[in-house]
Amino acid sequence: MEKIIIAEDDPISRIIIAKAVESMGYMAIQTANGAHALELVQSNPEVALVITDISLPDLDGRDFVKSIRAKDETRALPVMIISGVVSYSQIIEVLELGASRFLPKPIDIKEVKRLIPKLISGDEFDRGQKSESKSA
Amino acid sequence: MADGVIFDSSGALDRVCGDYELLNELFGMLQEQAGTIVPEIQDLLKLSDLPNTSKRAHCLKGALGNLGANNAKNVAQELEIAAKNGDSTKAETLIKVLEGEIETFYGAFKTFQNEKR
Repeated sequence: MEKIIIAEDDPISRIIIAKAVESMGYMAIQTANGAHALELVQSNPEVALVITDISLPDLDGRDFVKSIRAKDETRALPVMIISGVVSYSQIIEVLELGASRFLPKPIDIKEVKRLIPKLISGDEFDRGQKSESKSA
Repeated sequence: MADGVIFDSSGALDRVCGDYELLNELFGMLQEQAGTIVPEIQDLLKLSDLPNTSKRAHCLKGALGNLGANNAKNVAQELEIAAKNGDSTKAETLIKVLEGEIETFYGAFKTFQNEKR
């Protein structure tokens, strides 16, 4: 079963996303902590997608994306950012760093469910894969 | 500030894939969160700690939005922005408005629960 990591410090958002992920037949691995999410990515080769808030208590979403994109084994892993940030510059910045998609809060669960299989299959634009092919 | 939607019940139910019991559980979690965060913000404003006021308002905004508390979420967002911009006078007004909007949302949610029984 493919695994999806959900890194979100707001328990309500985390439960809502996990419910959607599990309803689609994926395994949801939940954490409230950015450093733990990175550990989970490294230790679970079956991880197919990461869904994360842009601002976790211990790790900024930008640093999170940079860490994922910096390692060969996770460079192409799709990362969906879901956040209630008020600044468009933050959104643009995180996309430029390599996040695959940004979705605002409140969570549009239909859009999340639409995007999950597309990001996993690579149908949806994936910045990680693009930057990898550019550098190849 | 308020868009006239106290409780978007269909949006909230959509977010939990139609699971009414889960929505009730999340409502309980929101009450706990708001019961902690609102007094925290009041204390932070007394200390003129606007950066942390903005962060706590941001947390509350997310939780309120997910539960379909649109008016309260919009006020929490205004509070987040006012605190971020250093406007303590506006922030102090908005936390009072927010308290009222949250109570109004609780009432609407409880009416929804009664209708579902």
